[in-house]
Amino acid sequence: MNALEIKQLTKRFDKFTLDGISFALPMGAVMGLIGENGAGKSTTIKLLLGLLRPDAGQISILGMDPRKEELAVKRRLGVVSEATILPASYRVRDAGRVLSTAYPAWNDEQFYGYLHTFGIDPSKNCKDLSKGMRMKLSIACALCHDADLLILDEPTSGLDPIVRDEVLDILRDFMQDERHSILLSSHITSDLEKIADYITFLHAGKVRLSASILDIDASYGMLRCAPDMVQDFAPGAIYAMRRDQFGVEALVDPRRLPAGLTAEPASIDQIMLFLTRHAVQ
Amino acid sequence: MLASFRSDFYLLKSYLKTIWGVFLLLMVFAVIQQSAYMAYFYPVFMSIFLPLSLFSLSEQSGWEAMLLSAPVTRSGIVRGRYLLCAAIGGITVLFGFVGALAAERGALDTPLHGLFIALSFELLLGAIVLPVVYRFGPTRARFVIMAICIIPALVTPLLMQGLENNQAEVERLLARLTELPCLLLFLVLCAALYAVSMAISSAIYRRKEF
Repeated sequence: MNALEIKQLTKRFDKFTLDGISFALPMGAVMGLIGENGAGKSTTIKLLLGLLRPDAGQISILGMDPRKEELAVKRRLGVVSEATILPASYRVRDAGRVLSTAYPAWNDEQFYGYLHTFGIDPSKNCKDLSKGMRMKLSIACALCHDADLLILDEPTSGLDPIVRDEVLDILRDFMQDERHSILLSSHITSDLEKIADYITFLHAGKVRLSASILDIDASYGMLRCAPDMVQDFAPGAIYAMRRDQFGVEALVDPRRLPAGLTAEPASIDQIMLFLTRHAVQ
Repeated sequence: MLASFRSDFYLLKSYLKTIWGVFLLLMVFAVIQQSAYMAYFYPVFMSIFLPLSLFSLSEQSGWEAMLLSAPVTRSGIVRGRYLLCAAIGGITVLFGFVGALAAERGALDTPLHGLFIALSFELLLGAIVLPVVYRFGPTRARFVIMAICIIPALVTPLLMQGLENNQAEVERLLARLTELPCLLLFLVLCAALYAVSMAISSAIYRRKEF
């Protein structure tokens, strides 16, 4: 069963269109949603949360249609977003009080347990917390109502490497339960390489790539060679390439390379950069 | 609804301390001036600027979008907000009543009339302002509300001549209107209007995108 399934999801704005995107996140997996600024990551997440209305397409979350079973879906979702961080005027404990009235399965003991673990004083004002602490508080809020699917929009953005690693540890703990799944949108692809099982890459409102990390490792590699060598490659062997003074650097399908040539593993950053800027038409 | 009510209350908490502080000063002034109506002026006026402030704070924090990702319905959020505005306005009017009693040195008649009028206007203004803010947002709503407030200022001088010609009749009418049963009926009508306004705001909010 898929924790999340999107089919032909479309949303039109004046200057941008999320154009019929489709992908699926299997239950028990972590999916990284990547793409440059304005690619459609936040729009996709807003559509999932019902903050925007789709123009076309279908969404299924935990096997339910969020438009028909909105409350039942939201009870099982945990959401962390950089844009919707806790208000500055709130004290830490106020956030728990508000959310305890919204979520029937809210666990106060667990909430205060997380605050203790993260070293957050419940009587402190949110405005007095560092950015990292606020993010941890948001994550604590998302984890204390028995959520099955976490939707995280740029949770590690602007955090230092140590806090980022702590956040990833929290997410790894959450994934100990095999019913749990995470959709994680991030610019920081190194974080995704540490935790994601699947990657969905959005570019200009379209899905350029949606596959498991294992498939990506098998299908994408980096190759540096002389310019005349690439002319002999099989069709479809090169996804993207750029020429520089030393020759050609190409994002290739290692399975289609001529015998004797070996590609280096491609990082998510390289895949994203090459598919965005140097794609072969 | 309760989550939205709580959420908005925590959002307003520090702001409420300030506006109630200012209100206390005005109450002292009303008692010194022995003016019951001055004690009610601020609570009624508050029904205009409270929603504007609440929406501004909510928009700044982005918390509303967060709340909408929780199992809370959009109409529940609207109901919670209406309830909070009515509750804060109602409590402030009740404090105004105490101030009016003190200003009138214990005489009940004027403070009681003032209480009904203030409660009615608090609901009436809230019923007008809240859908406007839901529709236009707190920044543009200020201009729309200003435009709405100008209408009575423009119409009143036009009516003045007619009123002056029939002064005795107008005074009789005013005396009837300020009888307690009439005031009670007006309060009920304003409460009904507030409920209708809530339904309109819910319909506006259901279509809103974040």
